[in-house]
Amino acid sequence: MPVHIAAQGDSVHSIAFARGLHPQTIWDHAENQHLAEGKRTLATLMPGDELFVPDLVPREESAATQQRHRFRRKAIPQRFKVRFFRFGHPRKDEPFTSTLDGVQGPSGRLDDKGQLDIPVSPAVARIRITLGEDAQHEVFEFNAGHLDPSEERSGIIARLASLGHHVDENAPDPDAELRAAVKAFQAEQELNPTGELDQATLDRLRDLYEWNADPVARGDGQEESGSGGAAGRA
Amino acid sequence: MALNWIVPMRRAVVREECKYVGLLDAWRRSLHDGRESLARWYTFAAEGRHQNGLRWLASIVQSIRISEAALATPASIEHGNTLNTIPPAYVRLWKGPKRVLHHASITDEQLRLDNQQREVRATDATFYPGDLIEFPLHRFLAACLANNSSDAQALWGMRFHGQGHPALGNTVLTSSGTLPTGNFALHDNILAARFQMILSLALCAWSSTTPVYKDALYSGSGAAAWGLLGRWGSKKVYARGMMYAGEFALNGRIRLATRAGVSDPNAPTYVTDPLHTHYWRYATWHWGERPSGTRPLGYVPSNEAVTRNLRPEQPLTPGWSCSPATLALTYLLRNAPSSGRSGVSENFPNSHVENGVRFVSRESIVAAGTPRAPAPSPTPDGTPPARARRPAVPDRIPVCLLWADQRANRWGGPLGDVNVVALSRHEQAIVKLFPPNRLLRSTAKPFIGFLSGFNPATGQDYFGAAPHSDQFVESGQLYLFESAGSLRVVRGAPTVFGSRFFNWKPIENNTVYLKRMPDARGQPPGSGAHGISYSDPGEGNERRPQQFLSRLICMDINESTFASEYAFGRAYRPIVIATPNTHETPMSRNGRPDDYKSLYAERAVPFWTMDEFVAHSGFPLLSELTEAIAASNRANVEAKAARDAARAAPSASTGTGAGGSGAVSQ
Repeated sequence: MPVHIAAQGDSVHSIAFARGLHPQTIWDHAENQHLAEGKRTLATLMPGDELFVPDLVPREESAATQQRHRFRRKAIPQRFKVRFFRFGHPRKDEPFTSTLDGVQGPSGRLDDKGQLDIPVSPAVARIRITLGEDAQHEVFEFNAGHLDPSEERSGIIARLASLGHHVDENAPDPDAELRAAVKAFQAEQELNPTGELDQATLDRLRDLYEWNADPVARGDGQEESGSGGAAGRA
Repeated sequence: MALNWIVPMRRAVVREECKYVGLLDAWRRSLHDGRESLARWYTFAAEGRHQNGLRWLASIVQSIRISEAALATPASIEHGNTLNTIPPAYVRLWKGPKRVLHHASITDEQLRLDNQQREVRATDATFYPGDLIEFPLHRFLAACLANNSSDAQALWGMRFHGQGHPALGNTVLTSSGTLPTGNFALHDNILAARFQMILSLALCAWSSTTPVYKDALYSGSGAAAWGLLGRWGSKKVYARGMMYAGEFALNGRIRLATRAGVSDPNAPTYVTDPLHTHYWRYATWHWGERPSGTRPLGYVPSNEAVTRNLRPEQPLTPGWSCSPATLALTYLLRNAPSSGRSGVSENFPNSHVENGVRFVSRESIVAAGTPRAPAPSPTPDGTPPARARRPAVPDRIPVCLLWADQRANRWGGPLGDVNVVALSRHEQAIVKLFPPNRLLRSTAKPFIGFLSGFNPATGQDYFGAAPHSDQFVESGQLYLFESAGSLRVVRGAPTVFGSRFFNWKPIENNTVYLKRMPDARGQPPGSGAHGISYSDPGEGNERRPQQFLSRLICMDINESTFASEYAFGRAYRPIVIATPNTHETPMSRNGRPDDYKSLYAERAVPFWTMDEFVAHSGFPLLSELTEAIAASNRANVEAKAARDAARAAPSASTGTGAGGSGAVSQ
């Protein structure tokens, strides 16, 4: 059965990686058009989303025997990007180390915008970034692929929280909590502080949270890289 | 209120079991309530900025309320994610006795306390009464700035010192490991912290199962040595807190009590081990050896005499006698780097110094036999009324250590904050405690503060615990600080020698009475509990004395005289309450305390007032003290010789005489 029901943490990237496909192969399939229409992206799915996952297409290549041949697998390189602020100011030039699913990853320094950009496997689930080297270091845990679309309530709440406006969904009145957080965000962004999730607020929230987003990820149908099709096999 | 704010907005002791969120909520309220003081002390928290800090704290509280699992941030791959980081507000913990004794199964790992700063990083942690908590005020101040300025970065870089202690004033360090200074120095009450430490020691809130005494140490120590060597010569002895308190004063081996320890941020914290495992551990009835199989340490402090609970086969440490107790008190407090409150002169407004002795006028003493008026109502201006007088009690007179000053119409008194009272071979201290939030009144950023204290087991504030203390918010609530009966050998009794109770209790209505008990052997009165009464005459069922004192002497040695005699500064003057005109006391012959030195030399402990912290850079070395005592002993001998010689000739009394309104000695 080529239909995959997305779980929390799934992305088109991780699903394609697991199946040996190029993500664009899944995304561009006609059966998956509803994803783009539903404001999903390659990186953000909702649990329960149905994806059509085409079968691998065997491909034959001729090669001489008694020789070494190299076959390169096509894939979009996956990167984890995050920018760190403290009270709205970039935490520039701070040293960082990373751990990817418990394995030591790249380290370095945040750039002058407080950003880091490291290569990761599409299959990675837990990313730990440690800022600072001394006793004052801070640890930040990320659940890769867990960010829900920006139009969904859960996605909005997650983005608000990342920007410093937490919403307690277990509160007696979670809607009031959300309105309060939205209002605080609007006030901070000098928007009309109504507490309502109007389009201007949603746009600002998305634009502020997502940076350097590739066009495909935004779901505007443009490809940034890769040529689609099935991945080659060694 | 779950917390007792011993340093408002910064440090608290837990009074009721609570969770992390409750702790931070309480901090937020404290910061809100103290915002005016905070703005006065810190430019970082000036008006308009304070709200930034509160928002930061609210975000933290909110994030903690959300489950731990949700704290991992959802992120996408490919999208650039943004995280406006909220610096944590982890608290520094010094474990309280209940935690150590009753919740020992909660490991440091579970608390996520196993970090250099000794911060509790488990946001689901529970805090217990007696836990001492310091909040990251430096982080709050950084959050107030809400920018990336150099000040903000410096504040963010500050951290808790994992080996620091409130009594050292080094609980927070800068990013370079030095003590914060200038604008970055945090308000504090080091005086109270030091006092609390020694008080907790005395209350047995601290013990160690490390053998501290061996036979060799007892050789040649008189009766004590005889007792131990004779019956338990091969035993090791285990101590509780008092022993260490005694060591503060007696051998100076504790670095905490040195000025170097105060200024050195890396000075070790005075605890029984570096991880504070035993800090605050207490065991009231385990003075002696702890053989295997005995009950674990786990008793709540009690004022009951220790000896009655001990078996004869348990060798005891000599513990803490009255002199070391009071000496340790002054010793520890004196090493504070700056001054607290008023001194002797201010506290004896109607006194004067003559020939090295401070005289207090008779008017300030309610004479025996003075008719007493009915209890007055509160005064119209709200000041507390003068104490209700009872019918004259001829067998004792109230010692006017605290009295209604009629001139100023206010409730005030002549006592300093710490007063060592020597009364015929027994020392005790009278200590003034204030409510901890009094710190908020300070115009300048306070560091030394004033005396306050809390029950180490419950976290309850002692000032507020005293009955009717609301009358003494301004003048301070008096507490008795007394270690009695130490080093006493009870021959033939089923018990053995050892320290008895530590007496720590509020002095009711701040009134102290001096009484005299008969002594058939003609020995001087006033020894031990027979000397000063801290309860109202007429109450209780004490044996009725047959004699009473017509007056008393509060002696405060003038610095010039004292310095000329002992080469000491004014800071070392004792206050001695003695009983003139009584048998064989040095001042009994002519009403003049010309032999006051004998009194001092015999037992009195150097007395120290708060503003004299500044006057002298350090406490005398033990050798100096020994030398002074030796000198006074020589003086005693000379004085005795002089007296013997004077008996042959009439004495030339220049005293101001007896009662009435004449000047009264002290």
